[in-house]
Amino acid sequence: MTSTMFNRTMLTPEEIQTAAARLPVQGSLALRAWSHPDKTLFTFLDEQGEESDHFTYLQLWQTVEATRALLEKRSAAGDRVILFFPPGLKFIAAFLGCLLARRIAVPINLPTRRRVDRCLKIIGDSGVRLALAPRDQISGLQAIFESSSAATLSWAAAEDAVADPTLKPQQADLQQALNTNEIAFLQYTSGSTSNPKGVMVTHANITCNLRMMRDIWSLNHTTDMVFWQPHHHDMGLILGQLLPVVLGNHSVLMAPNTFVRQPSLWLHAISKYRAVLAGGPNFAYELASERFNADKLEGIDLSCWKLALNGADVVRSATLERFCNIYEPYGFAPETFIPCYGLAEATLFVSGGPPGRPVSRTDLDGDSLENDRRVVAPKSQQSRRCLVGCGESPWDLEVAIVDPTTSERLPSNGVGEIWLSGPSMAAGYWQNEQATANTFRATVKGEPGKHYMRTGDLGFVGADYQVYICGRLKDLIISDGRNLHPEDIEHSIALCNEALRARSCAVFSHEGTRNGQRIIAAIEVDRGLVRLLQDQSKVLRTAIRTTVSHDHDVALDEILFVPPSAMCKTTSGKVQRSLMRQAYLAGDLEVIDH
Amino acid sequence: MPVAIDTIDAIEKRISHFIETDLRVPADEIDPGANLGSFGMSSVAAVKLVGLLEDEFNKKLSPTMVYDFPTIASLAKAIAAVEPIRRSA
Repeated sequence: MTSTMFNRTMLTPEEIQTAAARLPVQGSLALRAWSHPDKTLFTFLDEQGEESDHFTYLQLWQTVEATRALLEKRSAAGDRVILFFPPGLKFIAAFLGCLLARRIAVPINLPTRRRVDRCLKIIGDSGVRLALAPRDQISGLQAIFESSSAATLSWAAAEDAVADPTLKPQQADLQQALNTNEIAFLQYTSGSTSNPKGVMVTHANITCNLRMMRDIWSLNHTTDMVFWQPHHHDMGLILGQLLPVVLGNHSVLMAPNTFVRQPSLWLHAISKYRAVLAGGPNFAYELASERFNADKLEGIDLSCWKLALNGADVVRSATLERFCNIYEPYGFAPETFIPCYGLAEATLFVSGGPPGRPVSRTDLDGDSLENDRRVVAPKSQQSRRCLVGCGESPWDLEVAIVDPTTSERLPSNGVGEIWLSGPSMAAGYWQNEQATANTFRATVKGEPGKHYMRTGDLGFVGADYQVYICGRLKDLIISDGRNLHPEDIEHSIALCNEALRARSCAVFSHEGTRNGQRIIAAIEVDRGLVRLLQDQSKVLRTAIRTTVSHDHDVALDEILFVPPSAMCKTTSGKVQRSLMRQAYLAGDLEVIDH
Repeated sequence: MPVAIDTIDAIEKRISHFIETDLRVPADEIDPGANLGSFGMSSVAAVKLVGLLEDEFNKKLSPTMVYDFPTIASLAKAIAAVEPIRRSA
């Protein structure tokens, strides 16, 4: 007995493409599970690069259906459901099950005993009561949450959603009664630990953003992908897990650690599965170059790779050149690079492409950029800074460059805050009306009635229509594609040693000349601390390093002790990190030797 | 099987070098007996280090080794005891 859909025997690829640009992503899955049920959608590679798990389109849809049934028993429509999943294919079934059941998914990094704070804050902020996880994770997580505010979470095992192998999608599965402006999931990448902000991404946002990427990069069911980004990160989720469903392609996934440990396994997978699309943050290319080992790359052919995405972090010209020089003999073409720009508040994708062209670069004067926010030609070799263009934006997304203080639109050589308007802008921050109004409902001076989303990124649109990113308006530090809030790190430093309590501290980053970003902590010392430093500065620095890596999983590149007179503060006593950075870069920061 | 001291020494040197260059800890602050966390070793850096040591010493190592042997000295000793991968001729 075949299932009926549209009373048709088949749909053409064009019909499916059009439908996929309109249906919620779970509807696209049902359509494809009907149209090409036995095609492999996902293959997962283990840490040796061997195939360890698969999903066909129909199998995934059946598992998603079973998850929906499980969630309907355990929760109500509109409830938030938190998803604790290690790398693997179970996550995507759980996530889409939430969307199908109209529960709001909350994907999150697996907490460890040491780093549980942020997780607890997110559980509190989102108001989740039900957690979904693989069975073998649940007792460990319960132990971590014991006697915390999350101890009352109720748990459901993903394995309890048992797929019915005889179930086939029906037409009704596409047209479920869904207001596509309902919230599909909360992406917690914004906000400090003490003040997490959940970006409310709607069903319509997802459909729209996936369609934008598909069309601007000319993707379809033949453009297979290899991805290793974590699924709790917006790039890993939207690009790595949802885009394949809408494209109808075959996508090969691996764990982030598999890539970091042996980058050659990523390149092997691209070659073996003839991937057209693969990428990651800039550090992925850096690492693949650093760990180049000809012995491990025998026989690989990267000529299939047409779109090497580079996003979620600063895109460095030197990294692209180095990678190209090393991998050109293996078939990698320089025009494969697609530097891109995006953020969770815009669902993910903002700009990138067009594909198949050399990367756009602009040489400009670094001093004018930093000090006057102007794009001018380099005044000297020393102040020359090379920026990489992060692509053009889709036709239905407007990029405005705006003075962040006056809200005035800037002329074409002006550097300002990037403001965005279009159908992929998220609905706001979960239960945070004020932050939502500030970020998502900005208006350009003299242009009332039109809302823009403020990205907090500084940049400009070049004469080549490329979006160029120059830095952050706020002090956010981006490390290997991960957002870090300096106030969180400063807070940890102040608590790590009795001598540092009530001392002020400024944590800031800068673009190192050769080796990429450096993160610096400047700590105020008074006379008492100076005495301590003479005796045990090593001990103190070790304590700081230990605490920061422990709490934030990141290394400080430099720890400086500075006298109170050298700390830049506002009249209300808040540290001014950007002024500290300026003084540091100019070599004017007074440092106490010890 | 006894492990050659020079191997342990070479592994220790490689780990220290990684801490110096990747984590930017001054050489005189690197104590082989100290916990790796005290050098600011993040989880990503730990996985990176394991991969590097796998390549350079031709061994298959478990990514959790860094947590099971959390000092330079103990990690080097544990790695030295792992049999190298035999090349199939």
